[in-house]
Amino acid sequence: MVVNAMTTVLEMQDVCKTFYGEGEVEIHANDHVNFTLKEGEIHALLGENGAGKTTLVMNLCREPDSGSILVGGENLRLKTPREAIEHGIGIAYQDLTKSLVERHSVAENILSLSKGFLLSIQAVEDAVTKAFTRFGFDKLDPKMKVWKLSGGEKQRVEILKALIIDPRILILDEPTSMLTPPEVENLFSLLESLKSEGKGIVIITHHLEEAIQISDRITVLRNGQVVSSLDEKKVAGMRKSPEEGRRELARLMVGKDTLYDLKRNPLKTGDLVLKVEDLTVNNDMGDQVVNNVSIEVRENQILGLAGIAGNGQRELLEAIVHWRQANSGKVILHGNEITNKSVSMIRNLGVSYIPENRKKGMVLDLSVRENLMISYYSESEGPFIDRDAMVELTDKLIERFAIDTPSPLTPMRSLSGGNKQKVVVARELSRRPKEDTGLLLIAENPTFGLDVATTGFVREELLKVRDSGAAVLLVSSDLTEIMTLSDEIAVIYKGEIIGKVSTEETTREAIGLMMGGVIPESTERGEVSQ
Amino acid sequence: MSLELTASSIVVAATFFLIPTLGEIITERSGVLNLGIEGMMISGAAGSFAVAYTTGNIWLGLIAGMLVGGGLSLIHAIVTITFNRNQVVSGISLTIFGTGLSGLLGLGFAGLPLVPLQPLQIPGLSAIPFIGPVFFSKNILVYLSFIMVPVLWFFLYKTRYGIIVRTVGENPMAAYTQGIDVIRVRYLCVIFGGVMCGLGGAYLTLGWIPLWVEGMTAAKGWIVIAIAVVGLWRPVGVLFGAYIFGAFEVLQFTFQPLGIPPAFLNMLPSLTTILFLVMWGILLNRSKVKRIIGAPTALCVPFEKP
Repeated sequence: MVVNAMTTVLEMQDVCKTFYGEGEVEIHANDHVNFTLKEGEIHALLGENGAGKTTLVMNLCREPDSGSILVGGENLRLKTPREAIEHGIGIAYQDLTKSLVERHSVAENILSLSKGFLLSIQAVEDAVTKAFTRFGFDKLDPKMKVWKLSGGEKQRVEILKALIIDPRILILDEPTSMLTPPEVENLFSLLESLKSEGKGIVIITHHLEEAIQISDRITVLRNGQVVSSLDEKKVAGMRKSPEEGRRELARLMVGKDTLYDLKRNPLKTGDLVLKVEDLTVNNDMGDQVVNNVSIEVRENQILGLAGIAGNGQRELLEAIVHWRQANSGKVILHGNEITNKSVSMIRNLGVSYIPENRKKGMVLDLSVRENLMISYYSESEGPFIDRDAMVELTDKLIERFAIDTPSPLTPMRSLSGGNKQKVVVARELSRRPKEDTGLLLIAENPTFGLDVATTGFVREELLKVRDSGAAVLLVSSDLTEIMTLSDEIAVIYKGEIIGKVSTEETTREAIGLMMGGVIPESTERGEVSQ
Repeated sequence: MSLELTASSIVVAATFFLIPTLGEIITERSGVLNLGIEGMMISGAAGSFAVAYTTGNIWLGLIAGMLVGGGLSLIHAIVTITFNRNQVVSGISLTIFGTGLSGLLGLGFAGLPLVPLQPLQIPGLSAIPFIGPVFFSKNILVYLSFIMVPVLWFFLYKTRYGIIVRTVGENPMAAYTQGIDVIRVRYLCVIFGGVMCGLGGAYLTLGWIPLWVEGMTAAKGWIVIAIAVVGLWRPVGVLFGAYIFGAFEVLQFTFQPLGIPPAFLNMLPSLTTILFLVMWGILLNRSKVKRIIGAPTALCVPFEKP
């Protein structure tokens, strides 16, 4: 058989998909998009959140409004995931909470393995074990309930679900978001071998480095349109000079030449603001996920807490602000113990919190103005609202933080994700402690899901508040964010701080390794336990 | 009352709870809560009696009961699955509607006599002392309820369709993305629940108390919902639940002469449900409550295609 390496397995022509948002706003998620995938290639779909990457591949199991889709040369309109599977398209979805059943075992999650009327769970479990071996994944007990798995393990189950149907076309939507750097390397070598078997692979990502490293071609989407399609030669060139490649891809993704170049002024740190001593915290399931964590944050300092999502970061932060009970240990703010004190008392002492889940920091059905005011209600006196003061304050905030809203009275629900986040950031950053002490700002993945411009804006604001004397505890799974903003970096792994270094004295790679639980030689254990 | 007679009455009463509950757990396992049980049961009771009396054929009566229950549940399915409306509101409306409908179906049949389903003696088993008369000389619906417990257990845990139903009730999107037609699965499960409720109603008028009186289910349909919770949505669990609640039903008459007010005994089913939930909360930590004995995760959550 003559293998023609250039056979096109998937072709999308002039595909359009429109959604209708609040107030009949048309969102052109895919606007006349053309995309091709060849046999034996890895094609990266690159773009910011909301650029239409996921929408584009979802056209394979949900009809587009217009345009045609050719799978293996055959013009098809696939309406359901079942039809996609029947035509050899395997998709690993991005949102694992929607695609995995937590209460079921790994084997029970892979429905496509069970055949016929009777279900031999033993046979399914054997098949899962065999597949894990075949695809070079670390062994996972197929009897294990999914809720007991780590984020990376769950992601591997999801990828396995797509692989197990032996697809011609494999689509991976943000497959690395929960993986540690070594796991990413494993996945990439698996993709290389699948590619040599002749499969066509689409990888959706917003990580520029990953796109350059793994893919043969790159298609960049912005606002639902293809901005650029880079061929093999171009991508190979980028691999040779990754720094320039990153720059060019970023420019294509964002559509602006100037990227935010953040400068962190060297500052002398001031008084100790937050001291956490031997804190242990449980997660929602009652398992202890924060183990004896001790950290310190000072005025004029950003402490970056790096780690892969799900290593206890959220529980730690929530225990500090007492959204969650701490089991043992102490939280000390400005020398006063605040462990498990009431949320309003902690906030009145000058603690601001930007939670990762924006919905926890706002009321969607209240207006922008009311959301900006929420935390002032408890601080003001008397039963009535001083309307003039409220209008003045909120108008000022909307202007200063450039919140793009039709009116201050618009409900939060109809704002874009970036503007929602700006409202939360504006409210949390504008709070001032009553006494003349530094604010403690806790920011949990504050730029998650934001476009590049808003990301730059939020990061700049974090630096500004640091310069003005606040202590900032920044939790992020984005290495770039950690490296550019933090004065000091602590790495959390499985609920423990496994390393603490000054940003100047470390490298991206070292932090990346530590996030995966590997403590490099250069970081002395002595420094870790200081 | 002799012990044998009491035990025998408990089996008779428990069957009335067990049949609909077995249907309801399948409905709830697929992620749909049907609070219309009371309505479907009483309509099934009236419809089956009317058909059995008119035709003189008790089997046609049973089929009519199932059709009425299934038909009413279809309304719930259309409202909650096709139109994604609130399951609680739809279910309660169905109860009110079904109660009204039962009055209409039973119009003119109130108080009329009927020859009920006859007990079938199981050869051999019915001769065992105590056990025989209590369990093995009952009508066919009692035996059906016995058989349904292992059958549904086998279905839920040992067949491919069982795991599909459970996946749909836990995370419908996870099922959909693997090619499962979530809508169809939910429809079938809701209709199965309705058919079982109708059969439960038919058991009341054709098997247990062979006559029709308006409002004769006396809000016992709500106890079915409690049994589903107490039985942890498992066939074997609801078997125990139904028998415990069936025992309360019978004992309230037994204890009445002893000076215990019937009003207190009437409280027992709901009191037990609450105590049971509290007990689990004390015995197990939060993680286990949520992961092991909790309700199906997607219960009451509408499914919309992406």
